[in-house]
Amino acid sequence: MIRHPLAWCVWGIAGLCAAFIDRNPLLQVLLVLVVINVGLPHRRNPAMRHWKIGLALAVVPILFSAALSRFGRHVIFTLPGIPIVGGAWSWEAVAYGASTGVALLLTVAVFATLQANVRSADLVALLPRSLYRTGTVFALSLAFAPKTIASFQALLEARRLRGQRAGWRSAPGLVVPLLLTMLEQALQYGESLDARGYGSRRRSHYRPLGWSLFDGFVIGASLTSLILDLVLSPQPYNPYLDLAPSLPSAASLLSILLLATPALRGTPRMDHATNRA
Amino acid sequence: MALVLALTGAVLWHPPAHGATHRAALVIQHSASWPGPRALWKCVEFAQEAIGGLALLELAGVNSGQPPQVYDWGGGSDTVCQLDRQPTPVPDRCFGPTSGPNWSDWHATPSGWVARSTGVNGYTLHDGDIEGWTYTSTFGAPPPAVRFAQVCAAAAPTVVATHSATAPAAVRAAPTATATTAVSAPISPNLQAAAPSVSITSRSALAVTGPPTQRPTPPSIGPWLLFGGAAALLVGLGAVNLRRRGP
Repeated sequence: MIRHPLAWCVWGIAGLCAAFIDRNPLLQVLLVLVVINVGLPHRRNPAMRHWKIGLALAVVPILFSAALSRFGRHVIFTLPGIPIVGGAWSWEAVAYGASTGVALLLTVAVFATLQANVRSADLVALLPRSLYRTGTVFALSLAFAPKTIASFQALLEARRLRGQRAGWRSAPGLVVPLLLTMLEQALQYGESLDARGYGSRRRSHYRPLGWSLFDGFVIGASLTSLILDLVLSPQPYNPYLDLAPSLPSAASLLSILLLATPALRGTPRMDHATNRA
Repeated sequence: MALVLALTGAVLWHPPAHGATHRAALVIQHSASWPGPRALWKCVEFAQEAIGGLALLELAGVNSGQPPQVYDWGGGSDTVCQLDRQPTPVPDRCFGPTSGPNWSDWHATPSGWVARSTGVNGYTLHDGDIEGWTYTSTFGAPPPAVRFAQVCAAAAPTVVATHSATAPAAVRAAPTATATTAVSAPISPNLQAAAPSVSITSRSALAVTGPPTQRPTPPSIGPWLLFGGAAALLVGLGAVNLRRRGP
């Protein structure tokens, strides 16, 4: 199993590079399969619910590209002279938007996988000593938004249990309780940091990060994939030049398959420390 | 009766198309690495009131007398891949790497050169217009400043050409920066020899001026097998991962 967050970070960087360097639809299909494979063992993790956001992000470029681009030889239909959207809508524009959308979907999926596997505390622990305080504050500020949403949902649930309205019209009545809840959480954060001696002495590690053989295997595979993408990258897919994508080379296929390495041992580790703040 | 006939004749009579000649100046600026003359000036004469940008290039006889190789983006938006044999050979699918050098289109205005934003067929040229083409990387650079009289001297050869019948245009190598007698610059013998004698339509140019055509080879099944194998491998791995229980 993957124990070190650095292994996940290297995998994430390699995955993002593969998603954006060559947007060949055939390679994108394989990359989607790879990310699904890596994310499947964590499918019950709340972070994996973000795929809906990714799907929405994937649809928007298709609509924009098809509606605004007037280039392409494979015409779907032609609209009369309506401003902006009038003219010939082409398959090339749809293909270009789709490849952009899938790249965005892959970005969200890669980050969701990272969020499901890497604790923010572990990422902060990776920082050098000089950046530790800044990193801690940054991680806390990033955690503030999801905590606010969770508090908002908890307040809504409490109103429902009391038989009160829970629609958007009830939102103004939730502002004050939400503000009080967030202030209380901020105080708890401060007390927690104070109790752990934040900023008063050298940083200690409650649970030192360890390496496993599989971590090295994943890092090696991800770096190899990254190098293959950067060095042997073929001519990027451009549907306006040729709508049909070219068949990927063996090197491109290998670089994508190497990214599936974390899925070979997909059982997630048991987390004894449940603090994910 | 005579008066009616005279009036009818006056209304219906049109002067012949070649009754008046119009001239447009064409400036072609090659890249710094081009071995031949870097700048070419051509004075193109035509009978119509206006001609398109591609017709101007055809009449000018660039590309060894053949029409320039164009790429159709669809919707009538053609762009030029090769002019005056640059680049040779023409890159794959016209442009090769998307960031490579390419021809950019400019037209002269009283305030200087302005880049064209339409395809080569998206505009028309009239008498006295100046059209410029430069071969540069990524974002095009405008051609050097030039006046119409420099390219189309008063005593220029007057060979009237029409859209359908191409005739040699006045071809001259542009003077260097130090030259003071631009109009009297000698005509390049090579370019004179390259003047066209037969008109070719723009669509046939792809077959004529492109790289040597080869018999298309049937697509190999090997890459498809590799792709299918990779996809099957990932689907199989997904089935295994699906059976695993999540946390």
